[in-house]
Parts: sequence; C-alpha cells; structure tokens
Amino acid sequence: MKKFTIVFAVISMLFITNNLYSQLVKTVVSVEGEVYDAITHKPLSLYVEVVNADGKRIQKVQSNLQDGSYFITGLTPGGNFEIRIAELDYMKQYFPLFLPNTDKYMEYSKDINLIPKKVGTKILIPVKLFEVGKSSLKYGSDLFLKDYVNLLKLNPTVSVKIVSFADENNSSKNPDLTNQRSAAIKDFLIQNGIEDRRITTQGVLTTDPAFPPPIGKASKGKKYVGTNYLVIEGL
Amino acid sequence: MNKSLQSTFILVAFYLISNMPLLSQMLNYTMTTVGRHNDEVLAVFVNEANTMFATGSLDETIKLWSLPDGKELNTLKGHLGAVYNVSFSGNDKLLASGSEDMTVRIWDVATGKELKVLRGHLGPVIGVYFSQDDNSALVASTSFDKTVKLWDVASGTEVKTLRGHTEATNNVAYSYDGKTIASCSDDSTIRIWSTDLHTTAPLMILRGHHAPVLTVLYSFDSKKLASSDADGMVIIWDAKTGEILRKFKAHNDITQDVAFAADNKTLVTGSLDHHVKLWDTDGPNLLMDMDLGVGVWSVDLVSDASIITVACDDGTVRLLKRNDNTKPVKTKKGRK
Repeated sequence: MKKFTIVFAVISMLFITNNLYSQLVKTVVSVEGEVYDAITHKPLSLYVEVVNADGKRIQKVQSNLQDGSYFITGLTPGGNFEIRIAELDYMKQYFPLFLPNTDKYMEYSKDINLIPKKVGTKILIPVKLFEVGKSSLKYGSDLFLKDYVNLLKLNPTVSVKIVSFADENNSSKNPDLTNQRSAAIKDFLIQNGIEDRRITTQGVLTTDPAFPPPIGKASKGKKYVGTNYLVIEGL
Repeated sequence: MNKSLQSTFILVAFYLISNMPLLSQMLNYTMTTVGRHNDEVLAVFVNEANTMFATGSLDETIKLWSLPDGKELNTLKGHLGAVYNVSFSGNDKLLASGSEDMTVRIWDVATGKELKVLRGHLGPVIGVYFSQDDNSALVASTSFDKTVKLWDVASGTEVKTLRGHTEATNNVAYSYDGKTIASCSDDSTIRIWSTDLHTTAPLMILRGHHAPVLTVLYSFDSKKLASSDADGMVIIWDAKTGEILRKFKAHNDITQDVAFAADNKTLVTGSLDHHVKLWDTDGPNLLMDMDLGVGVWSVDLVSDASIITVACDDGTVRLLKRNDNTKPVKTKKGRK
C-alpha cells in the first residue's frame, strides 16, 4: 500500500508541475515577412501591426528600410489574427493570419504587397478572370475579386475606374467585349457592398501594351486574354 | 602488315566496338498519344505506385491519367491561370499544383475535389513539390517572387519563406530522406536548404550552370541531384558535397525537365528541341533518343523506366513505352 501511495504521489506531482509549467511558460510563435510597394516592388519601411480576432492590437513593429523585413514575436498560437498596415501614402490593407495551435515555438511567414494611395495608380488584377472572347466571370474569380472588395471597404473615400483590355487588336467585337468585362467586374463589386458611385468602367479597344500578346513563333497555339485593372481615380 | 601490328589493330578495333553502348545497347521505345489538353502541357508527374500520372496545362486545368494504359481519369478545374507544375504526395492521396494565378492548390486525388487554396506568393507559382514522408505534411513552392515557401498542408499556413535567390525561382524538390530541399533559379544557381523549420540560410549554393536553371531533382537515394538549364546542359551533383559529378550537353534548346529512374542513375530529359533522351548518367551514355516532332516541356517515368510520360507544347500527352525485347533498367525500391 505504501509503495502504491508513493507512486501515486509522484505521478500527481509530475502532473501538477507539468500543468504549472505550461501555464507559466506559454508557447509563443512569431511571424516574419517582407513588405513591398506593389507597383515599384521596392521594400518599404513602415509600421506593421498584428491584431487579434477582437480587433485588439497585440504587436506593432517597423519593417526594415533595406529589405522591407519585419519580425513579430510573442504571439499566442491558436486562432485568427490580422496583419494591418495603415500608412498615409498607401491604401489601408488588412491581411488575414491564421496561427495554428502548437505546443512548440514556430515561425510563420507572410509577405505583403502594399498599393500606393495615389491618383492614377494602376492595380493589375493578376489572374485571368475571363475566357477568351467571353465576358462572364470565370468560376473561382470571387476568391480574387473579394480582395478588391475588402480594399475598397477599408478605403471608403477611394474611387476607381475598372479598365479592361481586348484579347486581340482590330476586332469588331472589342467595344462590346471590353465594356461588358469591366461592367461584370463592377457588378461583382457592387453586389458585394461597394457603392455604385465609386466605380466607373472603361473598355479599351486594343490589347494591353504593358502585357502584349505573344507574336511570331511564340504565339502559335497560345490563348491570350486581355488584362483588367483597377485605376485609382479619387482619394 | 606485320603480325604484331595486325594484332594491335584487332585489339583496338575490338575495344572500340565493345565500348559503343550508344549503338549496341540503345533502348527501343514506341510512342503513343493518349490524349490532350486544350493548350500546351507544361507539367507531368507519375505517382509513387506507378498507377497514375498528372498533367498541368496552359489551359488552366490538371488532368489525371491511368498507367500503364494512359486513360484519362479526371479533369481538375479551379486555377485561374496556367498550371505550371504538379506533384503527388508521398502517399499518393493528394496532389499539389502551382499556377500563374499565384496560388498553390491541394487536391484530393480520389475525388478530384479542391481541398485547399494556399495564397501567399507575390508572383506566379512555378514549382511545387510535396514532402515525400508518409504524412505528406509539407509542400514546397517556388515563384517569380524569388522565394521558396514551405506550407503546412493541414493548416494551410506558410511555415517558412526561404530567401536568397536573386531572380525568379523556377523549381523545387524535396530529398527523399526529407532532410533538404533544392531550389533552382534564373540566377543560374541551385540552393540547398534545410527542412528544419528554424534554419533559413542556405546550406549550400551550387554554381555550375551558365544559364537559368529550370529544374532540379533528387535521386531516390538522396545522394545525387540532377539539374537542367535553358542552354540544354544537364549537371549531376553530389547532393552531400555539392561537387559536380557529371556535366553534359543533353539538348540543343531549353531543357525544362529531368527525372530519375529508381536505379538512381538512369535519367530522362525532355527539351523544346523536340527530343526525349534517356541517359545512363554514370557515363554519361545515351540509352535512347526520340524525336517527337514537337517541343517537350516535361517528362517523368515509372520506376523501371519502361514507360516515359511526356508533356508536349502542342497540347498532347504522350507515353513512350519500352519494347519488351530491350534491356530493362534495374529497379530498386523507391518511387517513380
């Protein structure tokens, strides 16, 4: 019986000390990344904040001017957070950050592109939203277009023009096609809560000179789809 | 002619003839077109069990095909841009794809369902490679944004970003022992990284190519690395020391892909010069050379190299099957 009591006492002690240790020494995780200007691709030095699900700021650090790097530590794992950047010359942008539960130290990563808050800034939508010659949004477009919904919601005074380029030059279909495409993007933004008055549209009759279709041998068999932009018109 | 000279001549002739494996041991393959995408096929990857392969295309889809017959099994849709690369997990249950739309996507191979969309790269995703452990816990990816990222598949989080390449990173590979990752870049280097989540500096930088390095791949014993470049050069490296073991001009144009057979020395290469070649890298000796008449973006093979899967720039997916009367490649346990 005495032996049993000693074993029980030792196990209980281990259990208690382990729990105490966990409570005293909480696991923390870190996030590192780099911040760039989305247009010039140059690294930026600015304040990067992490807020929790209640909107409470947990950490705030300044990114390095040389390479745009930042490092945030002391974060409690297990939950959804947001990286927020509010800088006068850039659009306000929030980036979701999920930190999974873990019982050991971990470092996560998040690189950030910031869009300059300047009239005339051309924000390229970097995915093909349409099929060749079509003007209805492809399945899966919402994943990317919701980024722009969030961008416009966070920057309520900003107005934009949606510009759509053609798939080919000198086609009689271009006026209808490009106007319908920019309208389709506008419709999506409106359906997701952006005010009509903040959005204008423009269909361009030519292909995008910044991203021209391939020519010669390289064009054989290639499908080229015109690009789409959000251009900042008002702040 | 004096007798000793005659004997010497015979000996030399015998030596030369007996050392002509290029002619005497050439393997014969027959090509069949098993199907096509609606645009150029950019990637092909054979699963661990050699029962299936996946292709990725400029048409934004992924297709799954059976082996050995090459029957089309499923088309996976979801990407909003070209699918540049695909990779099966070590247990063959999952497939990772990397795309022009800047995402890595994880698919359930059995159902074709999209399980995860991993967003975090700031440019098109060029390379993807699943860790080959039984849990298939991590995926590595490369991008025009010059980084290599590691993703935890279960949580969908970015657990590591590896920086150092000075130009776009083109492809990435996990070693089969799970200890290292190799990435290659337009900066003409290959970098070897630790898979330890807390080490971010490269373990080695391999220099030897003089053009953008387009692909890099470990042998199944993780002892060798093969890489190819835009000038058609192939280099075989000692994976531990970074020493160049073999360097040879394999093709006359962009050589986008290479793949090892299970014997760790037979290597298939495919190029935009229209040729698919099979090499014994110990020589190197050319074992097979086939002109397909179209550019080749990607190649892979089954363990014993009896079937080579080919992704072509005319949208076709082709199989090269070895004729039974030619010498088989010795197999060992290992994938592909």
